[in-house]
Amino acid sequence: MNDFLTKKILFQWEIWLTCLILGIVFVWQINSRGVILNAQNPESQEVIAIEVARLTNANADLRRELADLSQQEFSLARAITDKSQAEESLQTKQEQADVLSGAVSVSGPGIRLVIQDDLNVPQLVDIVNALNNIGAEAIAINGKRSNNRFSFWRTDIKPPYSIEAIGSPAALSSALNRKGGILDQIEVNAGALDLTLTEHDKIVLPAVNVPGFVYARTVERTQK
Amino acid sequence: MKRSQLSFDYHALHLRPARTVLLLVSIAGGILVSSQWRTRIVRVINPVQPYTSLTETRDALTQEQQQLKDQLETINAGIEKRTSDLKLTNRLDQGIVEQSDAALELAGLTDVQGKGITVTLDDSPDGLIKDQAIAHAADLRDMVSVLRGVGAEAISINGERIVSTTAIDCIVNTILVNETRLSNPFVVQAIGNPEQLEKVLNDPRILQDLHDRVINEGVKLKVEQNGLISISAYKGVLPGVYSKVAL
Repeated sequence: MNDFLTKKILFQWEIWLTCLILGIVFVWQINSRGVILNAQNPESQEVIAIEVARLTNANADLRRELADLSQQEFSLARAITDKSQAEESLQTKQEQADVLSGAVSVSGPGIRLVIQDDLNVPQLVDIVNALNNIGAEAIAINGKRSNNRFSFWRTDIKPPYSIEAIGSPAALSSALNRKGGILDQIEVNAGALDLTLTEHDKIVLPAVNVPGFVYARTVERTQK
Repeated sequence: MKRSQLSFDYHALHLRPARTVLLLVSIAGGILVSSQWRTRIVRVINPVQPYTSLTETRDALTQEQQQLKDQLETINAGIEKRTSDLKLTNRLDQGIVEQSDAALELAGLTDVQGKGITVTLDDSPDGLIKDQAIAHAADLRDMVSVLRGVGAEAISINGERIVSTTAIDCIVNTILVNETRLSNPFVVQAIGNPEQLEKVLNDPRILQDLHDRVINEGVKLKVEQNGLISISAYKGVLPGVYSKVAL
């Protein structure tokens, strides 16, 4: 009987020890898989790589802008002796602002995307957003400039949609056409679209009347 | 003796299933250990290193982006100051100065103040990471579109001014506005008629998907009217590489 008890106790220890080891191994397995998978997860690394690429490009653009503005400030500093250069500098900035606001007609290389199908507002918003994302400098839809006051909401824009964008034709075209791009995403959800996408050396977008502010007023930066 | 022998045999039989369980558990342990062994990557000595390197690069670039934007703001303030000084001396053509000021204002290149609303959009606080329970870039795009539709004159998201070339995009869970990474909560400010702006965003028939997720998934949406909102100027890149004023 004593022999049996000894064996039973020994067996219980065996069970206890095995469970302990198993528990440790199990936790170790879970933890180390988590760490390695997080580091090795292609999506996670790919996402950060995309962010790095975009930040690199964005910072390069910002440096270019900074150089342009430095030149403009230099011109203004010399305005006391060189009035015309200062005025020219102001006009250059004004032209950029007018292009941005849509107050002037603009021309340049770009693409024209014509879609015959009826699209909903979020789909149209997403297409314009995608074009902006690729670096379009000016966009018009059915001849109406998309500016910071433009909205598809409560507008009478109807199919066929002719969406024109000024920017790098190759970049705009390939980004729109690529698998997983905005057109592909829309087609996955809504079925094949009847569309044509063409690149152009020069397209001309019309100006739009930009209404003045009623509620907002400009404040000097120093007043903040 | 016979009784003792019988008793022992009985217990031995009793322990046999337990030993079988022990055997199975040990096999499972063996599988786990071998699985763990196989998870190790043969070619990469430290799999965490490229990941860490990428995140460090991203953080450094984000910091650099902020520094560049700060420099842009400083230089723009300098340009405004010099222009303002020149106006006082009447050395510049006043027509040119006024046209320039008006163009900058309408394009979103000046700081503005006025009545409006503040919207706070955030993920569900439930802690569950569900696609429907988080705030998406698409929500912000739709919101901007609706706000513009009711006449918002200036809009910003977490301080980033929305202009005609602004893209509101996401890379998985990271939202980018003007190529700047933003983190939640997302604070949208809009200058315009506060009643109209608030009403349109609180209407469940508009931005229906967002309102459904607010009710069913716990996405946070708060709209408040404000007597005075300040929205900063756009600090990014201006068009001019491809587009020219058409003559």
